[in-house]
Amino acid sequence: MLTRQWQINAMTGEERMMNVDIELPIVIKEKSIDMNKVISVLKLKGIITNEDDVKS
Amino acid sequence: MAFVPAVARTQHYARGKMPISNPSSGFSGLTGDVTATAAGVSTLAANALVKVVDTAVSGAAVTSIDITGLDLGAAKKYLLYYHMINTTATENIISMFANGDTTATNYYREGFVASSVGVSGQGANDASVFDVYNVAESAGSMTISQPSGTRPRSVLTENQKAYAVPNRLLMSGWIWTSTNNVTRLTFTGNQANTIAIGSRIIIFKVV
Repeated sequence: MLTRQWQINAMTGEERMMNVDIELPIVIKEKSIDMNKVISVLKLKGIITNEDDVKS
Repeated sequence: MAFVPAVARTQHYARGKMPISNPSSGFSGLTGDVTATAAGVSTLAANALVKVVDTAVSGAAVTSIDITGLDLGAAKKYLLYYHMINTTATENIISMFANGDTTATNYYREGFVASSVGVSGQGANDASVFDVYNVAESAGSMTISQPSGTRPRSVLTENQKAYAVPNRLLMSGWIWTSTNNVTRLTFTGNQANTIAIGSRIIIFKVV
């Protein structure tokens, strides 16, 4: 799945497109990772839109 | 009494000129043309809106728009204009996240929509601020303020197309439960790559 985020820095005015091409669902095999943090970051980047896109 | 008579203001408006107030000069209720001198512009700018973000999506549709480098605590208020475009066949619900906090339950929103069909209200414990219907646009403005140590709050007024209704009004409020200074705002749709090319966000701060 290709997903994109438009990024703007208000301080510098820099604009750029971030592209992410991944296959969903994302499977996290390392059990010590905080799943809530992973989901939070992936949502923020627009890589996933719901929690079901990440499995452990 | 040191004030400008109402009749003078009326006459001035009738000629299409705006009264100006220049606190630093000691004048109040002064009427006249705005003089475009460097000093005059500088004085007025000290009490004006300053644009900090003006961006439009280009290249391809995106899932989210991430704005960093903000400082809501330093600004008295942000005034945000947006025009979002959805060219897909699926409604896109946009959430506004502060400082990278995407836990929906850390936000609250209340609002209502009004159109010729009727008026309805809704609220939820999440961060969604507006929606962009399928093959439609939503345009609106939002104010966001956060005096030091308080939760940031926004009020939004939007004109949106919603199914068969071409022109529906949405008004809503949003808060983040944290009192941390807002330095980042991320607008994320619940559909991938559904914020279309040309979607635009402009942010002014009050200085």
